[in-house]
Amino acid sequence: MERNFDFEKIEKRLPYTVPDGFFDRLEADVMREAGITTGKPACIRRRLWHKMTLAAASAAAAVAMCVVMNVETCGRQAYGYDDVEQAFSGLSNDDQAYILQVYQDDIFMNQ
Amino acid sequence: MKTDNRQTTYSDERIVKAMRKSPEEGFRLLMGKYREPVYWHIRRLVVVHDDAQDAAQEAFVRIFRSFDTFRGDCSLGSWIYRIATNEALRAAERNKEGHRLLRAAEEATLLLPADNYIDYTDLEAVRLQKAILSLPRKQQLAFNMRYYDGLSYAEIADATGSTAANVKANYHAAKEKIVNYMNSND
Repeated sequence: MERNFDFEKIEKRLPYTVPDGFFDRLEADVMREAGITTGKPACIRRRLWHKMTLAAASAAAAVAMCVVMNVETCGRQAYGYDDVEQAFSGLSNDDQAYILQVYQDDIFMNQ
Repeated sequence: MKTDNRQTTYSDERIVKAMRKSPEEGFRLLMGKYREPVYWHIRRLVVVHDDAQDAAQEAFVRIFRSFDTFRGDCSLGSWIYRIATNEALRAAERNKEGHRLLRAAEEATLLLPADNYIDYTDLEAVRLQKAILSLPRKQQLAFNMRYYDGLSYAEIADATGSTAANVKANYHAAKEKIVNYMNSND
């Protein structure tokens, strides 16, 4: 029987297959045997590190901003006399007496 | 060097630079590009998946551990294929089961479960691999690396310790023998 074999018909077809996920497992096994410790690619580890650093820096900046803004806003917040009187009247008699005693000689309040 | 479109297409120059700067990161790029070509190159020589898996793993570990010896006097791909070929030939010598499987499959004397990772129903493909494996080793290597991997004659010469002229002669001799085999009644 004459056959007419043609490389172009069969191209690069192989009768071989591999299990699903084989190449990823192969890579992981090689890394482990070669003593390359981490499971994440180096580029992903660097991105995670950058994100963590950025998050920490942002948190620190936010805390610093809160501290600064809290100090600044305390001084600028405008309380009326009525607000102060209302707050004072809410205190107990002993507390009111204590405050009056402490501040009766205050040189700034009694200028 | 041509690569399968599925592979990450980092150039060999970039991989070498990365390996010198950061071996771990560079090696991930190398594996991304070469893990499939190396495996299939080995598989075509040893046939059995388990043997190819072991040899491929050995090859890559050797590549990583001996990268300091790569001087750049040949292409990275040639150097990698040389190591992979050596591991494949060692495995093929240790275990000749693969050739027996193909022979039996073609003769329809063997019924094997699909988990051998060989498609015995593709008779033409099985027969072609048997034809290639029946060639002298140098013709086998020249044919496989040229036909399946698209390596140049010079790259194959570097990988096999030969000359480009010899590789070219081996390749054409291999092709002719394969065509004769495939067209015969054997």
